[in-house]
Amino acid sequence: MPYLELEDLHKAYGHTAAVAGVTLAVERGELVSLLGPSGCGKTTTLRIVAGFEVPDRGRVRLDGRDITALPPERRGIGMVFQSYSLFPNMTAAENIAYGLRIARRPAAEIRRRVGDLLDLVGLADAGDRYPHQLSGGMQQRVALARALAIEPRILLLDEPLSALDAKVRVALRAEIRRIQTQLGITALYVTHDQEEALSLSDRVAVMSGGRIEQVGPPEEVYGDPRTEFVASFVGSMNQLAGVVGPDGTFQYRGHLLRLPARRPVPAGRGGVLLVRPEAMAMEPEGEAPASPGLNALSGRVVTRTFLGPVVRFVVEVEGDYLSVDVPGTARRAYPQGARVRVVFDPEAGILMGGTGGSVRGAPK
Amino acid sequence: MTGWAVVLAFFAYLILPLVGILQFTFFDGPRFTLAHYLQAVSDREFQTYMGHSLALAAATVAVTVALVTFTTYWVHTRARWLKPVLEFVAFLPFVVPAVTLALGLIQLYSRPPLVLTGTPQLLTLAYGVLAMPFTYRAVENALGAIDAQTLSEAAQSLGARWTQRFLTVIVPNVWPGVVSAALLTFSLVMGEFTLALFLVGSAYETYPLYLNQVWRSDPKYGAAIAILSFLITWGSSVVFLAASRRAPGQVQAALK
Repeated sequence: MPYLELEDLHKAYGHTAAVAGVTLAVERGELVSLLGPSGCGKTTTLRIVAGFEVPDRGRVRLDGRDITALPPERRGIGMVFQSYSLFPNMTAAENIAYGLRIARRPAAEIRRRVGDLLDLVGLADAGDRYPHQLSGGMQQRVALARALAIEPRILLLDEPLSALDAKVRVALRAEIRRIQTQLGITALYVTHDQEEALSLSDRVAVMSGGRIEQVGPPEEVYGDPRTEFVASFVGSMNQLAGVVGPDGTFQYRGHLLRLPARRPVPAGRGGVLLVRPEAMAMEPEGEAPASPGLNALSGRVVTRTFLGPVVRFVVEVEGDYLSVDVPGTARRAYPQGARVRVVFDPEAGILMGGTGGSVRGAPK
Repeated sequence: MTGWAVVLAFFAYLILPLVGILQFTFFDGPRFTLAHYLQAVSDREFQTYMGHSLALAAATVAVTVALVTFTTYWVHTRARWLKPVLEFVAFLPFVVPAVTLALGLIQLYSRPPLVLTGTPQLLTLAYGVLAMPFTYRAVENALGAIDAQTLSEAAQSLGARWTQRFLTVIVPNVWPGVVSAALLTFSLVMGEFTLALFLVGSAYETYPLYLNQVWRSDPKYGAAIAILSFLITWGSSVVFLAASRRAPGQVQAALK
């Protein structure tokens, strides 16, 4: 039986549905991310689990017990907020001790536990400092320790890294994952940052419009998106709209492309062929194809952006803008306006059904 | 230089009247005297009425601070839709003249079931109304500055019931605002004349009423007790401030 079960949760504010039928099961010790753009319902879902919001419909079960009607202070839930939310009038150690004092635990136990937790989050020397004397990253470590102090039955994290700068964010991300696996604690993690979700989760639940679009391990959500939304939200995707032809072919604006062989599709249907920028490569148009059997499209280089490990080219093909990532170490430089051939393995394509040929602009 | 001139002018503006009164009380013609101040030592009336004013001020501070701080917190975190109402109510005491307020209260409280006119209790409640905007504004600003909502939720997730959240997280963090509001309220009551005149008059005479009376018969003594009251109010504020420094810590200790 799953440890945390969300069953058909609904929550509306006025006429706007924030959460519209969320069902999710989280196993003991698992870290599951709720990933999606702002307004997708991920934070509301988390707040329902915390007890700060009461669902209009649906159930929350924790360890087999229905907690839907239980007030937050009696749920035994550790929560980490985006804004750190440390008590400004208390030192780091007093913040961590707060929940234990409320529970009237013996002083000796509190002292020992606070010391252990300060060690755990790497702040052994900062216990006497007040929140305003700590950096954002340190404050969030204290907040994490404070949430863990009460030995919560589940840890909830609401965009905990969004207010931090990039370097601290990556370091603390790894830290959160280390601590979560070390303690074997079950965690629900809300984020709009796909890199964050993919890098630290056991499973990712991609949300949109108050619903979960797809749940799965990071590799699956990234490599085998089930909906167009998931495909375009998780990572970048090039979108080629066309019609499925006979024998595993795809008609794209007069070009004949090959579809992946794994999922045969009936001919005649409209669809969108999705290809990741890193799955595409470029060749100068004048040269013979390096490896036959690849799908190939002619185009013109529009922009070139150096991103460090890769150089991202935007190539205009038949009026669409395709993103192509070329390793930064590649020796060939394609100037702006160069005529090129964009090639990709048919197996790298993902066919999505029917937007009826409408094509969006430049991918992200 | 111009900047300093303005600052000097500002202080002169504030201090000169005080200097004027001091000079008036310390000199009978060219002769220096403390007689007008010593007069207060044996004046039982002055002592009684000053006592009345101090008691009223303390009671008003206690009532408004407790009532308004809690209400403001509740509205801020639990009933945001009530905020415009509170804003409007907090504006009323500035708009409604004291005389109007006094007459209204007399109308309401001079008939059964509640006959309160002439009692210090009614005066305290009326002062509470007068002082409410200061406390509301100070606490509301302090609550906004600390993100009371999220702090409250953080404490709640850690198991704190609402009384515990209010006393251990909210009060200590809005305390500086509460203290400044309390000081304003205190000095407001110490100098209030109109409501005291209408609501209690001679039944519970306050210091400003007494001052008004003395001033007419013995201006030198009137001026002297005005200075004394200034010193007493100021001294009480200092004592109050010193005591309030420790208060949040005691709240903390109560929890341990």
